[in-house]
Amino acid sequence: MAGYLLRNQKLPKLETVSLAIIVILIFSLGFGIGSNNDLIISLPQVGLQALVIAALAIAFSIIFIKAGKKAVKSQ
Amino acid sequence: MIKYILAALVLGCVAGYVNNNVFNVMPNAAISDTLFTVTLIALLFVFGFSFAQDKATLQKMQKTGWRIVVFPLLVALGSLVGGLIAGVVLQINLGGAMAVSSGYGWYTLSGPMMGQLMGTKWGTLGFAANFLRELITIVSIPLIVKLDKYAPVASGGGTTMDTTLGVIVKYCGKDTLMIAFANGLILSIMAPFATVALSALS
Repeated sequence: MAGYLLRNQKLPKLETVSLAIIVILIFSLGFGIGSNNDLIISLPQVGLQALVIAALAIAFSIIFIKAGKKAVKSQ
Repeated sequence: MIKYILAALVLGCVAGYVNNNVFNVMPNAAISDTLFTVTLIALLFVFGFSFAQDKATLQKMQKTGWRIVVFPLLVALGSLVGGLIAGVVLQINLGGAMAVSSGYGWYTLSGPMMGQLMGTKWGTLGFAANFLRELITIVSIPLIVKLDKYAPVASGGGTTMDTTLGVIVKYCGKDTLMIAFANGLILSIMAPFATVALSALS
């Protein structure tokens, strides 16, 4: 809403602001990972299985999205 | 830009580990919950701001209407098939593998839930697999965005409403904000139900 109301004003570069915020956000995400001992212990144990599941889940999610887009376009 | 993001991720992991296991300067939640929530709110504000400023984005967004509901369902279906095939390849319990892949990247949910439903071994797998989904998404965005503009949103699964939202909007464009948020929200609502239902098949 603030963005819409001020849409014709000169403002500091939003690109820079949002990048700075993203960096802090990802830092605090990493902090949560690093301070999670359960997670750190689990990775070497089941890492390979986890990697296969994650990679295939990602791959098929992307494939289904591409297929879905094609199906809509061909209608 | 990915340089800064990866540096922040690595630094965050190291800082979190050191704080938790060596110095214990402050409660972990001060950073991983409080700072995280504050920056996420700030990010949504800034995105919302630049979103409404840009008239072209608003017009583009109106065209994406149908995708908002269909998109997460296709991602859920893709995750299910991916989990099934992974279960066959790894020769592990298929219901369990599909339950793990139906965490959609939400590892703080899938880990404890799988642990409770199917035991510690599956809990660690739920943790690790969904954590890797989030990590792979953040790291691979510059590459997979070339496959399809929306591929990172599909890859991120339930994480696209918070942890991966910032990176996705940066790389895929402002008009993906709404679809990424809705995708993450719907998948995050679906995740606990799908996990329970699929683990019952095991």
